[in-house]
Amino acid sequence: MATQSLYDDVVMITYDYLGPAADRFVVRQIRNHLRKDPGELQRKDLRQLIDWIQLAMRLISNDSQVIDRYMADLETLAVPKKTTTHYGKNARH
Amino acid sequence: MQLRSKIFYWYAAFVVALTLLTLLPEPSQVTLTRFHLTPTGMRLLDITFLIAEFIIWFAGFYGYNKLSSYSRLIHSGEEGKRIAKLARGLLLLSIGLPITALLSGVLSIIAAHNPGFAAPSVIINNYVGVVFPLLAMLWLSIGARGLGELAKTRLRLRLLNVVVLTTIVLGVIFCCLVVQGHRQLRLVYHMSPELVMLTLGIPYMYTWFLGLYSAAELRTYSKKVAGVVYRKGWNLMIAGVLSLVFLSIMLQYLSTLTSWLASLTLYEVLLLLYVLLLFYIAAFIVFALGAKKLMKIEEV
Repeated sequence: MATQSLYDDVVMITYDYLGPAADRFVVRQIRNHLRKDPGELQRKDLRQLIDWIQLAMRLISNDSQVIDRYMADLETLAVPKKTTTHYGKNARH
Repeated sequence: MQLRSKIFYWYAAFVVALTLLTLLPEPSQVTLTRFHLTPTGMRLLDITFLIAEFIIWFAGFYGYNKLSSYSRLIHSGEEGKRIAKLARGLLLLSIGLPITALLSGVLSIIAAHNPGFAAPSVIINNYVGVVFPLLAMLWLSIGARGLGELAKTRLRLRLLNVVVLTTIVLGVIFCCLVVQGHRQLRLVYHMSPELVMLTLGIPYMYTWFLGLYSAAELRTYSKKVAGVVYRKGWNLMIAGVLSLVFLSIMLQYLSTLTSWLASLTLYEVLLLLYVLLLFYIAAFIVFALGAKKLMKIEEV
């Protein structure tokens, strides 16, 4: 089964806020501001990407509550995901 | 950008043409006597109407331009083609206004010089008046259904019932009003009541149904589609579509109330017309704002 990339995670969160425009929006932010292809997005780029997305969202919407919630959702991606064992418990390395 | 220029050149051409058509011929003596106006007073009134009309056209073209630019921005996406159809509907609705006004101006000049042409000019005007809204609503409904198919939405039975029932109620009242003015019908439409019902009543009712159906489809789409911010743009566009449909209905209702309109004073007629014009401007602007909001998402 193909694993989901970080870019896919960002799009998935953005989908709740920008709907069908989510994919195009995220691709544009990554290409224009990070000068990268979406597939090359890494966790270390995330902070910068969130800042650019926040700036862009302030131009799109005046609803600060929605923007804050969106940013909080994106922040959860900055925290590395804990890998789980097949028993469903968090694996410790 | 090129399309935008083309549209605005068309707008400028329509403005110049209608200004000349309205202000060059001598004011009608019948209107001057009816409202106790001087030729200068009549000209001043004409200018105020022209300005309001030009603002409506501008708002319509602006709304089309925004929606069309938006559809071109997302042409690679699935919804791009559907939104292009909505834009085509809005173009027909917007361009129908100056074309109808210009045609009406030309026909009334011909009729003024050739009294035998008065009846045909009214008949042509009436049919052209129904063609543009009908085609516009047809395109809007195709675009709206397309978006619904994309989001896998179907109109809920309750909403569909509301749309059909509203159309039936409005349609039956419209027919009653037409029949009520039965004696004046030949003076107003220059056609038999049967022909008015069959060739004007039915297309108008169908147009209203398509308009209400499009608004209901778009409403269902905007409720189902994801995106809190994205949905806000759609809600504004739906409000615009719904207002335009109801304004079209109101205008047709007014056209059946000729004896009531004739009993109004000049100030009352002016008030009614200005209120209608203001609503038209507001409806197009609300639509344009919705399109602008959606476009902003694709620009930043």
